[in-house]
Amino acid sequence: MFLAINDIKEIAVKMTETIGVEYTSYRFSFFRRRISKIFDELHINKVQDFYSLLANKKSADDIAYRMLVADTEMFRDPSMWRQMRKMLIDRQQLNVWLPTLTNGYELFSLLAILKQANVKSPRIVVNSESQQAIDNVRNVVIPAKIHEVGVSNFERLELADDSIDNYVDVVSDGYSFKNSMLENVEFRNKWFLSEAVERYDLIIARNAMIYYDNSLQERAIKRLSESMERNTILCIGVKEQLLYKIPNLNTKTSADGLYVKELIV
Amino acid sequence: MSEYKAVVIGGSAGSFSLMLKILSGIKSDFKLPIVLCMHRLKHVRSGIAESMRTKSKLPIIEPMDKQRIEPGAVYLAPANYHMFVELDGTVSLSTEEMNFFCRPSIDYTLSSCAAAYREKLVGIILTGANADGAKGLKDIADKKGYTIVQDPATAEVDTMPKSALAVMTPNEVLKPDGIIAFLNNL
Repeated sequence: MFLAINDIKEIAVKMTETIGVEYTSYRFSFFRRRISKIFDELHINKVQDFYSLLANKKSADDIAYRMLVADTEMFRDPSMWRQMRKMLIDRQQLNVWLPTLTNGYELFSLLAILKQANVKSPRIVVNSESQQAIDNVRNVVIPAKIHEVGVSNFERLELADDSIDNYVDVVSDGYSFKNSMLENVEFRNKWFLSEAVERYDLIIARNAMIYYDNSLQERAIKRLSESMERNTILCIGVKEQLLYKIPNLNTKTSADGLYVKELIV
Repeated sequence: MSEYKAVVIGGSAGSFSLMLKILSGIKSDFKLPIVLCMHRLKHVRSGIAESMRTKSKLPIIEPMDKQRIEPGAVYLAPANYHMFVELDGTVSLSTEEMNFFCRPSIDYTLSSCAAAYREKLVGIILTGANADGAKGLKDIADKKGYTIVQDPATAEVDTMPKSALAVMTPNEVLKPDGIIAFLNNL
């Protein structure tokens, strides 16, 4: 259905109040596309019907889930993972934060890399505004076609002694992640910008903040920087800009243009 | 001074060599920004822009998210990201779902340019193997922008130009040399 600009703005306000994510500070064009998609998917023809869904906790969570952009793959941008693995080899007591979980692909890619880098007993905190996104991590089925992309990406990691098959199980309609890998993972159903500040050694927040407007993106990066201490690695998307200038940040750009940030105080 | 503010070009299979030909034929004092969206392999991030730089007299930029579009430069949609042009003249990148199994999607880039530049836009569809771009070019026409479709007889794969011609009537159907001449006369 056609949504007028004022409708979209009002929807953003109500979603912000209900879900606790600052949708009013998302890039308007993205928010409009996403909301239009949700209206189509849920066959909503009246804005009031959408508000009725929003009033229901489970439906509101479903809307938060549908707002997430989760069209990704295992080891997206393999050269970044290859470089990260080298930086993490044999690190101990690693505190890791994935503040913007959308599905399990990024998390399980990370868990495989930590295992490959022989990182002992890492602590991994994962945030998502959607409980459904968190629940899906344990239950997601990777379609064979998406798995093929993961296999191809994994080969680009150049790990001769390992296979992606060590991290997935074959199920009837595709593949699933090995849930045994989740033993050190703590899930939090909370938007990361509402979290109290904790310190992390590695923060991975790729391709989530590109949907924010400049002001929110700047605040988000500032917030991530508050969780960084000496030698923390910050990983954002290859085409994301650091709109907030993080003090004492040593910016390293890898050969393929991926950003991996290392803080040197 | 041109009545247009930007040019947007979309192409898929077979368009790379044609893009190189067009870029090498455009004059060095070309004043408008050119927004390029080509279907490309998502894991091959380097090579295309570098090849274009060897031929183009204009700077070739694979933009960062929120980068401003400037006159006289070519903006190439990065691999594995959709590229939109916003009303404020900046680029927004996205990893949203694929369109016609493609990311970047030509439709998305063209439609966003149509909204941003309206009648001040020239939209061009080149050779390609699917229908992505047809809707985007129609959006440009609907906003009174100037539309050009590569003559399907000269296209390496004619599905894309034919798909555009099936949903709209462009201002011109041109051979590659005609496209270059048109751009140099803007």
